Amino acid sequence: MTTAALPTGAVDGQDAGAGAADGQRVTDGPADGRGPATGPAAGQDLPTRSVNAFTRRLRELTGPALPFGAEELAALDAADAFPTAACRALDEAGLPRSYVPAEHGGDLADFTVVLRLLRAVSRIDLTVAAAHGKTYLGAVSTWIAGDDEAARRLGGRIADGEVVSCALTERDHGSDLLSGEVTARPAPGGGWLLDGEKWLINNVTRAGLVTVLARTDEEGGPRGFSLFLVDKARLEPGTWTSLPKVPTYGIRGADISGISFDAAHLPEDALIGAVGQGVEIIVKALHITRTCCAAMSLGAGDHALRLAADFAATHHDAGPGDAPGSAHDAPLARQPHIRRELGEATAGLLLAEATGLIAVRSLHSLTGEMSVISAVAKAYVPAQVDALVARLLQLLGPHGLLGPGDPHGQFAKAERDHRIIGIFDGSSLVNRNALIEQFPRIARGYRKGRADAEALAEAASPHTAPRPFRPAGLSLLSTSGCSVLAGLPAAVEALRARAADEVPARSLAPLLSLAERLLDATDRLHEAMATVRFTPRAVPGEAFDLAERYELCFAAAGALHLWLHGTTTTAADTTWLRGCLVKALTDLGEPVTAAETDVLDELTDLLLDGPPGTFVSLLDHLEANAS
Amino acid sequence: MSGTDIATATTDVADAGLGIDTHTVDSLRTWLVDCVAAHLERPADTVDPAVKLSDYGLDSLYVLAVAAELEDYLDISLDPTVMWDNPTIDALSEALIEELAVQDA
Repeated sequence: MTTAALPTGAVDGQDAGAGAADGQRVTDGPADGRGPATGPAAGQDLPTRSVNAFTRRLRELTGPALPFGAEELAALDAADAFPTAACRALDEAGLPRSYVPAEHGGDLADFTVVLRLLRAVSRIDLTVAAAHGKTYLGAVSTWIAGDDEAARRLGGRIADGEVVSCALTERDHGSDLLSGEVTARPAPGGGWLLDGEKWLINNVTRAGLVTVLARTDEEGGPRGFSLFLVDKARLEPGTWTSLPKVPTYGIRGADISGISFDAAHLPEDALIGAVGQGVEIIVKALHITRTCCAAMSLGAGDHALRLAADFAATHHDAGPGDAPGSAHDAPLARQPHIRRELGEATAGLLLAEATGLIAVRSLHSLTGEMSVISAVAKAYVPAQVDALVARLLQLLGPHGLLGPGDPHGQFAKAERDHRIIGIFDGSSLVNRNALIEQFPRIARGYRKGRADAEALAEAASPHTAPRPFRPAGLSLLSTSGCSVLAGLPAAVEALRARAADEVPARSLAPLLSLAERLLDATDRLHEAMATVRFTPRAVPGEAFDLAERYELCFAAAGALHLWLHGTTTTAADTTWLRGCLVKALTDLGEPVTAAETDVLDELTDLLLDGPPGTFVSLLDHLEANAS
Repeated sequence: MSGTDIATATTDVADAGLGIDTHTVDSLRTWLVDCVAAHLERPADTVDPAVKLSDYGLDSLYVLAVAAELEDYLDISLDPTVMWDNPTIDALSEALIEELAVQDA
């Protein structure tokens, strides 16, 4: 099957805002509404069909006066009002079941699906995605450490639409969890007494259930905290209060607030896991949630890029003296520098997608490496999307992208809303620091070629069902390093072998040349990482530069792995991968020729030639059973 | 040669299968004191094995790196939380000997 046939039916390129004419469709045909199927629906895997069905449902809800209507969402944002109708619609569409692992009665069996579903929501509205998706963070500690009975009970409540929040931070302590002052003491007669205030918490006022991190040892320390699942309905009235909504720069409608406890009595079974396990569970939970945050960034990036592309395709340069019919009276999208920027933005988004895809799939197959992979994903993907949104704004803002060209202010809202993604759940700084602390181990694993090839192949094959996710496999520290980069030499070798075998000869040569430069840069990077020495709390500034380079190498290597596992050996299209490698090498400061950089314009065509309302996604360019 | 280099060299020897097989609480304590001193960039005789590592400023995440070095040195697999459950070098040395006995069995 060639890439032109879009093996998965253009699933991830679908927009809820595209023509709603086929809303009555009940079969699982391609969701593009573009006439007869180009590939049989039977060829789609089950997750793809369910993502399709969900995306179709969203699209039906985007018209005027509907929960996801552009005007409705813009009005809510302007009023700092919570998108209640949209969240309820997601409940009715069954999204909460995707937050509950299959073994606890839900639908969550593949994090790739969660990524795709949340990305689809984020393409329309990030406030809604952040508000709804938060329930997963609220519940994940119980999935990791709760007993089966507690997990099954919680799963049932989430499926019924209960909102679950997670309260970690406090007013005076930011992200320094070990200085938290909310305290749980054993209650006379059993259970616990909870005291103190949690603040700046997403959904904590709306939620019926809140996972709370509380100090259970006065001395504190990494074993001094425990987690409790607090059921508000079971608290004595007067022992807790909600704190007012905090006005925010982005996601203005979200319920960002706090909760205060005053000798609130919790039953014995509120404890999640064992006493003293709280910090360990949360660090592991963040390995999952930081990874899944990629979904929101990718959706916001899709949205911004689509708005920019549509704007550039339909607007003309309205400068003085540019009369209709003059040389300048061409769509902005035909101007060379705008074309190039759109292509580079597309490449940036594809690199972010490669990182996100590999990362969510690594939860299943490279579970023990998530301390590295989640840090890369959370540091790189939001930063990449912030950067591309800022550049699109700089490019097209002066032409009116924020004005009449965007009547509902969607671009400005996406830009504003996305800023928070790089901050919550651990900022880029926190994540780069986490990466740097693992440099010695990562560099060592790379030098010794410690890569789990089989697990890596699974992570790089997004159209196949992954092995079940086992929370017990999560580790605070990756023992082996990082297979994605330790597996790069073998990937380049595989590409070299393909290039040697191919007929006609030399069509893979340009790609191989780029991949070899990536490998060379990655080799040098790991040598530099191995020499970094620092004492606690004194991380040298240049280490952060190395961390950023590491993220770029990871993203580019991820793209190469995906291509190798998702393309057949003959006549494979190399365009998107060359675009990714050119962009990554350029960002790394490695030499790239002007001729090589021209591939970015081909990515622009990919973006602009898609039907209205579609998005560019690697998933549409990877075959299901190529490798 | 700095202390950190010594630690690295030691782990490389262990990696090559040339490590010493018979560890004792005392030998582990000595190795850990050197290792921690290297991380803190201070003389080994100023590191008290009875004092909590966090009191020296080795915070809860940084200290996990010591677990990684221990894994390499001892050639065993360790849950990094061993560092949290045993906050002093003394406690850690005892726990590691027990762990070695279990994993050798």
